[in-house]
Amino acid sequence: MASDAELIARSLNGDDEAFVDLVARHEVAIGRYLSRRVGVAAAEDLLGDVWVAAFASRRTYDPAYADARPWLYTVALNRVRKHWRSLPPEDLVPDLTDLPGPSGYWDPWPAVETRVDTRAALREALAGLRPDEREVLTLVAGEDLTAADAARVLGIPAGTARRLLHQARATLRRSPPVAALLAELNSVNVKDGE
Amino acid sequence: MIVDEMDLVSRALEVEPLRPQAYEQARAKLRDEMARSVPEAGTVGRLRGPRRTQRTQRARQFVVTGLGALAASVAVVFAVVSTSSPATPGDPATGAPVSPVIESELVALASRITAATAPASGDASLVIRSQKIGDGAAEVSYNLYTDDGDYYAGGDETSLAQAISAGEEYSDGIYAREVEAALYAADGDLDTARTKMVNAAPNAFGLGLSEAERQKIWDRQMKADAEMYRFKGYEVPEHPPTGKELENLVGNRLWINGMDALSAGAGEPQVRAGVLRLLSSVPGVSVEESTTHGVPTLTLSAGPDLFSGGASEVLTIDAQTGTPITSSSQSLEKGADSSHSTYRVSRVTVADLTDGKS
Repeated sequence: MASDAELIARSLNGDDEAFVDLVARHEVAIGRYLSRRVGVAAAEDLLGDVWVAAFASRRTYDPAYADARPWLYTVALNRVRKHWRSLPPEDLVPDLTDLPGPSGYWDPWPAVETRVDTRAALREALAGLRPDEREVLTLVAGEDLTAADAARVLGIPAGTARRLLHQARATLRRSPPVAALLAELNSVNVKDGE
Repeated sequence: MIVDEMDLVSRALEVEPLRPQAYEQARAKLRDEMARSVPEAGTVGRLRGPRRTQRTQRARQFVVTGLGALAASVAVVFAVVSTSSPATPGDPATGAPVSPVIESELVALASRITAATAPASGDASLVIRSQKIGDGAAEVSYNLYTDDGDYYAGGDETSLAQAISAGEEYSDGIYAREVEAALYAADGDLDTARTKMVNAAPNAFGLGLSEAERQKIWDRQMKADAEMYRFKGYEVPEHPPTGKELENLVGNRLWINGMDALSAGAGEPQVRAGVLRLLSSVPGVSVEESTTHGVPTLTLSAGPDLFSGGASEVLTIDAQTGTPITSSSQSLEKGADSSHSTYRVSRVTVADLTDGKS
């Protein structure tokens, strides 16, 4: 199977369908990413814009990287930022600090007796992070990227991404509500023999 | 299994995949872009990038909202006085929107600004915007509008410089056209200027075209957007807007595009003069004299008519220069947060920014 870099190279030589093949490989991941950042409805609007922007800028792709997904995250992130800039303020979809609501997909750990409000705890802790820390955390925790790939997405040194991730995790752990939540979850897991 | 903080975040971020149709539509958009060139502004309503999202989210009425800001104290109210009939943009047969002749403080200010011919330094306008929504923390953005019409943004000077170096330019040419329209409006024919400003961003109104041409453009746009309309539960409108609806839509676009131009050309007095002159022709916009932190200002208010009854917006500008100072936006929905933004506008040199000298 051709690598992403090879598909991009073919598209640069006039084979547009090669780029569509590239898109097909990554559309679910990029769609989920957009959905996390801007909500489902806007994500559906933006996904095509991401492909158009990626196609337009494919000459800038570094063929040394066989996997184009981090690059596509970069393009998607740029479109997300542009989307936020363009929104009327009252329509802004909050970032990571606004977690998916109860009617959405937030249903973790139903077995836990929620003495700690999980959503509020996490939201409060995430709000305490610096934006660059949240960006790295989102990419690593939400998109399952390595810190090095997150660095590639954000255009920062890998060491910086690792530092930001470390800081973000430490801040979360130090957050009393998150600490309480983790203690409760792990207590339940131990009781359940997990 | 021990749960850690990364597990918490991962679980919290879980979402379902998009609908299969969404992938198909996105791929279709890509193929469409591959197959065609960008349409001429103002002739086809195919919007790209965030503008498409922004300008369609309010769906059926195509009404959009713009800047957010801080409402200033108000002293004296200047009514925008029309000396002719209300604005009825869009005489499709002649191509000339029929705008009212209006005398207002805006026009007087525009004249004063136009008379001030101090050359602007640098080659770009840096607009540092601090926006606060409800009780949330303020978010700062660095927005750079070059005199060539490019647009870059970042969260601080460093990320802005990185965006410039990486060529992350996303204006789609729209800001340049808006600034061009504002420059024309500074001393050009007002009706022509209104059409130019509305058409600076692609739309399907077909201003200045015949009914048949307008319908053709509309049909093409609706064909492209039909699925989105249905998805959002709206009927697909068969005909382009007319009468009061069109009037409000034109006013909406003059406000929105004019706000863009004020940012994109914030360092250019002629641009501000042109925008003010354009806004003076919109019946839904009122002007009040105000004071902000001891500085004489004008407060421009765009009423709900311009936003399909769903919002109102206020922009405060320096009474002498027209430079944006604050803005606010208030959704009229119960319980909705208001937003306040403050602006710091300066002229800069792009090379200094990328060299870290600014």
